Amino acid sequence: MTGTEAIASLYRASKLTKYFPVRRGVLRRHVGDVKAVDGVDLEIGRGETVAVLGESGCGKTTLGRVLARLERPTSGVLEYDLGQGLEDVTRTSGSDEFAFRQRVQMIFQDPYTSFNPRQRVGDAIAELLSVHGMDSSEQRADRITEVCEMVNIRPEYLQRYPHEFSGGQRQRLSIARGLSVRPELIVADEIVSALDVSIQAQVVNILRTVQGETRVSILFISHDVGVAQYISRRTMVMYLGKVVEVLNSATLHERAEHPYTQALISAVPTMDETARRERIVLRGDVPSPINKPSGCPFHTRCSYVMEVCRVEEPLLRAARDADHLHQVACHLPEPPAMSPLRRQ
Amino acid sequence: MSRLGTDPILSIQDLDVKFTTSEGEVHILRQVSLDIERGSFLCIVGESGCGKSVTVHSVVQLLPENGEITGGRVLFTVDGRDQEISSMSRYGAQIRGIRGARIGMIFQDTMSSLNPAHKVGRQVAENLHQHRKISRREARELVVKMFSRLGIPDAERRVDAYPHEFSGGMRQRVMIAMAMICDPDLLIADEPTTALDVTIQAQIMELLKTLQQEAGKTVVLITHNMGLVSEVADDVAVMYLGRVVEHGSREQVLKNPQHPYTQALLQSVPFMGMDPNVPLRTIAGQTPSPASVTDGCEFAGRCPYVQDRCLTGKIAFRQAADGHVARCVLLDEDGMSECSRRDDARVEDSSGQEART
Repeated sequence: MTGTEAIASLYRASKLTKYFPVRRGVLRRHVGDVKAVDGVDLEIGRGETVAVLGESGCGKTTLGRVLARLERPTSGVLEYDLGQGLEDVTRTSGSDEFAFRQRVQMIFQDPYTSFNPRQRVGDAIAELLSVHGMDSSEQRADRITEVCEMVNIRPEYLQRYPHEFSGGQRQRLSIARGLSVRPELIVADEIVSALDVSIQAQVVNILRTVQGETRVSILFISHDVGVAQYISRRTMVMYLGKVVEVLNSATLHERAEHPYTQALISAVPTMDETARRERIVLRGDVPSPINKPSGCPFHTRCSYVMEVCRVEEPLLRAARDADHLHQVACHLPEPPAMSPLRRQ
Repeated sequence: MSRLGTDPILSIQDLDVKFTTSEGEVHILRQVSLDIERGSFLCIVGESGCGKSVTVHSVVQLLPENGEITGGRVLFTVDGRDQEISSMSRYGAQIRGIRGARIGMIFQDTMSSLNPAHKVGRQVAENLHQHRKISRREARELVVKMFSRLGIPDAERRVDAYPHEFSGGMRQRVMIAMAMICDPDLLIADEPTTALDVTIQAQIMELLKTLQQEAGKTVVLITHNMGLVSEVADDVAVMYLGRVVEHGSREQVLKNPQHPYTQALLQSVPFMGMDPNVPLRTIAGQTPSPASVTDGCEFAGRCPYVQDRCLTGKIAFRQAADGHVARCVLLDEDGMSECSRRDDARVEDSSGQEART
C-alpha cells in the first residue's frame, strides 16, 4: 500500500478476515459464515487519523475489534511497530498480548456500559493504570489529573460515579481512560453517534486537540460522513466486509470514484447548498453477509455493472486521479462522474 | 406574538404541559406557540429534552398518563371548521376520529410500533376499519395500492408478510402507509430516519417531500439533523428547554439565525465539505433540568451574550423580519440581532468547560 510514505507505519493489516460461524439445528451443524470482515488491507501511520466509514452491517465495528485484539482474526496478518519496525503480532499471546493492549486502546459508542456503575470513575482509570504497571498511587493520581485536564473534566469530579455524569462527560472520561496509559493508537467506535450535536462538537474538538498534543493515532469508526471527513486525514469506505475505496478526507466529497461511495455521498443531507448533489438512488437492500454476491460485493446494486463485476472481485488499486492516497476497488476503466450538483 | 400565517391547519397557542413525577410537578412545555401553514413542510429541531416530541404528542392527545395539558390550546382546522383538540377528552370518540384519520403519525422505532405477530397488511388495514365502513377485500386493495405508491416492491405479496421480514427502511414505509391510509391532512413524523442509514434516509425523505408536494399534505418533521432541515423544510421552529426560541422560513432561520442558541447549534455540526481547520462551535455546559427553569430566558445560563435583562421577567418574541421571530432581548427593533453582528468578533472557547455542579 502506498500513500503513507511521509508517515512511519504503526500498524498494518493484510488480507484480514473475521468470519462468525452460523450454526443450525440440534447438531449445531455449521451451515455458513457471516463474513463480517472479508479481506481487508489497511495501514495506519504514526500520528495519523484514519476514518472507517460505512453503513450498518458493513463490518466496520468488527474490523475495529479485531485491530484492538478483542477478536482473533480468522485469517490474515497483523503487523505492528513495537519499536524496531513492523513485526508480525497476529499470533502473540500471554504477556506480549498484554503489553500490546497498552499500545492500542478502544473507546466504545456507549460510555455508560463501559464503566462499572459501582466504581468511582477515578478508580476505574486508576485500575487501568495499575494493571499496566503503574504501582505508585501518587504517580497514578498525577497521571489521572493530567488526562482529565486534557478532556476538560475537573479532577474533583473523579470521586463521582458514572451515573452522575452527562453522556458527553462520560464519553470524555472514557477518552481520558483510554489516553491514561499513553497508547499509540485509539480505536474509536462511533463515539459521538449517541450524543446531541452540541455535545458531539465538544467531544470531536477534544479528540482533535488531544491528537495534536499527543500525536496518538486514531482509527475513527463512523457512519457520519461529515464527522468522519472533519476529523480524519484518510477515509476508508467499507461495504459488506470489504474496503471499496480509500480517499483523502479533504476531497472525498468531490473526488470519490467508487459508485458506492458516490451514492453514499449523494445521500448525505448537507447544510452546504453548493455541495449538494443529485441523489443516486440505490436499488434494493444490502445483500446478506452470509450469502455474499460473487465478484464485486456491490454489483447487485451498481448501475454501472459489467459482466466482469459478477465473476471477478476487484482489488484495491490506485485511483485515476493524481492523488497518491486515493485507492479504489472497482473494475470500471474510467470512474463514473460524480452526480451533478443540484440546482437550488 | 407568534409567527402569523394566513391559513394555518394547526395552531398551537400558548401550550403548557406539565408532568407529574416522583419529584413533583415539572413544567415541560411553556407557552409553546406555533402556526403550521396548510400544505407546508415544518421541521421542529432541538436537542434531546427540548420538548419537540412532547409538543406533537400533545397535539394528538398521546401524552403519557402522568402528562397533562395545563394551559393554552390547540386548534385543528379542516374543511373550514376549527376543532379545539386540546379540550377533547384524551380517550373520547372525538379525538379518535381525528387521530389516525385526519392526523397521521410516524414514529422512530418501527419495531415497537408494529405488532410482530400480525401481518403488516392487516395492521395497516386496521386503521381503515377503525375509521370507515369498509369490507376486508376493499381494505386489502387499498393497502396494496398504498404499498405500491410508497415504493414497497411486490406489494400484492408483501402485505401478507410479517414485520420481521422487512428491512428497517421498508418497515418505515409500512409505518408511513399506516399513517397515510386514511388520507390524513396532516402528517407528523417524529425522528423517522434516526435509526436508518443515510441512503435509506434519503429515500424516506424523498417520499415525505413527494407526499407534501404532490398530495398536498402538511408535514411536520421532528429531527435534530440540521442537514436534513436545510434540504426538506419550508419552515423551521427551533426549540430549547420546552419553548420555541426561533421560528421562520428555512432561509431565514438557517441563513440568518437570530437566537444565540440557533446560531450555536448551526455551527456545531461538521458538514460535508466543511473546512477542517475551523473549530466546531460548542455550547458551554449542558441543558439544565426543566425543573430548574424559573424566570427570564432559559438559555441565559449557557449564552455567551447574557445580560442582566435576560435573567428576569418574561422574554417576548421579537420580530426579525416578516414571518421570522425569535425570543431574545438582543433582537432590537430594526430587526438585526446584536449578537449576529458581534458574532465574528467573538470566537467561543472550543473546549466546552463544565457548568454542571
